[in-house]
Amino acid sequence: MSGTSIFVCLDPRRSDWWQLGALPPATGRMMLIGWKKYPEPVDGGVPEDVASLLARAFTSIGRVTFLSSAAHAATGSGWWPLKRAPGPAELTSTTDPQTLMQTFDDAAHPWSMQGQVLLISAPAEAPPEIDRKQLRALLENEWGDAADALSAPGVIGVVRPGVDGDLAGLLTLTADAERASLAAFERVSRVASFDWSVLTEEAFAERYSG
Amino acid sequence: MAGRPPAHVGAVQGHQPIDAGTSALMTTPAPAAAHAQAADARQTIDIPMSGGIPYAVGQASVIRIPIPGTSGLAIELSPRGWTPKTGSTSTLFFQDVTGRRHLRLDYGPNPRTKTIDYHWNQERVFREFGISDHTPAGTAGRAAYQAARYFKYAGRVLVVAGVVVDAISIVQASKPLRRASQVVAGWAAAWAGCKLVGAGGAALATPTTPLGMAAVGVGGCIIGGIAGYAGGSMLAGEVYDWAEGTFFTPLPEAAAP
Repeated sequence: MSGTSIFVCLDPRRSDWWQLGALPPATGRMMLIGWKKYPEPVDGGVPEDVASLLARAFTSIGRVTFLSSAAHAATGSGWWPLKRAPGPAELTSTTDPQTLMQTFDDAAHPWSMQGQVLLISAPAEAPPEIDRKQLRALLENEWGDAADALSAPGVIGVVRPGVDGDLAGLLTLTADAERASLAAFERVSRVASFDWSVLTEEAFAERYSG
Repeated sequence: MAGRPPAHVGAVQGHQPIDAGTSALMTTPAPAAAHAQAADARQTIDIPMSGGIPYAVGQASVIRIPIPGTSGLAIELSPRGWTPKTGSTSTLFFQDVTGRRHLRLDYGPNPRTKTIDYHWNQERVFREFGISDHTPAGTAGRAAYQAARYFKYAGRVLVVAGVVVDAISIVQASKPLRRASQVVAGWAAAWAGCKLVGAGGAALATPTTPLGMAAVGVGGCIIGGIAGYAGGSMLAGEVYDWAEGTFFTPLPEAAAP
């Protein structure tokens, strides 16, 4: 058996297992996004084809702003390097899936150690204005509470890596954003010929465990 | 004659009763030989206290101990890159300088066993260790996880204690500059000794498990650090004494031809 499958779970409740903060979140709705490759890779981290699919899905929902240590790299069309003083946190905002691929392989903000956060906002708008305190709060365990204040600056969804970076949690702040996210993941999965399914939490855990 | 009972006087060498006809009598200890006191004082000055051992032991918790033949991997007790306020759930790392390639001993949910356990997480180092992601670490892993966790903090305390003791020894030394040279050279040599012997230990233990490698690497770092500190500090003392005892005699001026 070979291939890649993408599976999601809406409204998960097992806070202790996914390491995505308190579930259900106080604001918005949580969606777990999981993946499985057969045969299973021996190395950890997000497989490249999965990272590519996630990047395409997130950028099709909207503009994605994320922590990046490569903000000084040559800028392409559609994204801006943003530096917010004081502190080392640098944000990059993009609608380009290729640029977003960095998020899964940035040593300074390691996805596999849950050191990354992605903010999704309307594609035609400027990147959301958030301060350093808000950004730091989004990296902590109870990040769902901090997400509450992000609607005002135009954030419609927040993505955090789950346990060991082997899954992602997408917190959508509007019902439209949840529908758009689900449709985007289904579309890109089918285009990539990946197996696609929406599962209950128990079935998700079973599939995640392989 | 009925008088006052004999009192006790003197707190120096026991109490002596005063006889009936004497109003006061005090005995004092015989003075010690002058040369003996001088010898004691000299001993205190010549053998200053040293923070070498706590420093050398503690530094193993903060130094990257290289693993030869692994393209830049090293043993560490802290992650590279961002860590949450509550700290990492991993305590033992074999990682490159960026942290992008790593093997780490982690505690948390393990999809492979469907339990919360001690396991290995790794990225891009399967070739070096032959351990795939989420491999359970067993009871030895549990012991190593806890040992690394406590040593990480205890080691930092030891480093601070060593530095403080060394600083005090400089202040108290009869030749502060000489002692300062010894301390600085000791720290530098302890660092080098740790790297050298730790790397040697890690290389010797390469065919064994990562836990064996970590134990031998950290042990080697401690031994190398202690030896390095002692050697560096002794050498610095010798060099200082040599330099101090060296005088340059100006050449006599000669008339220009």
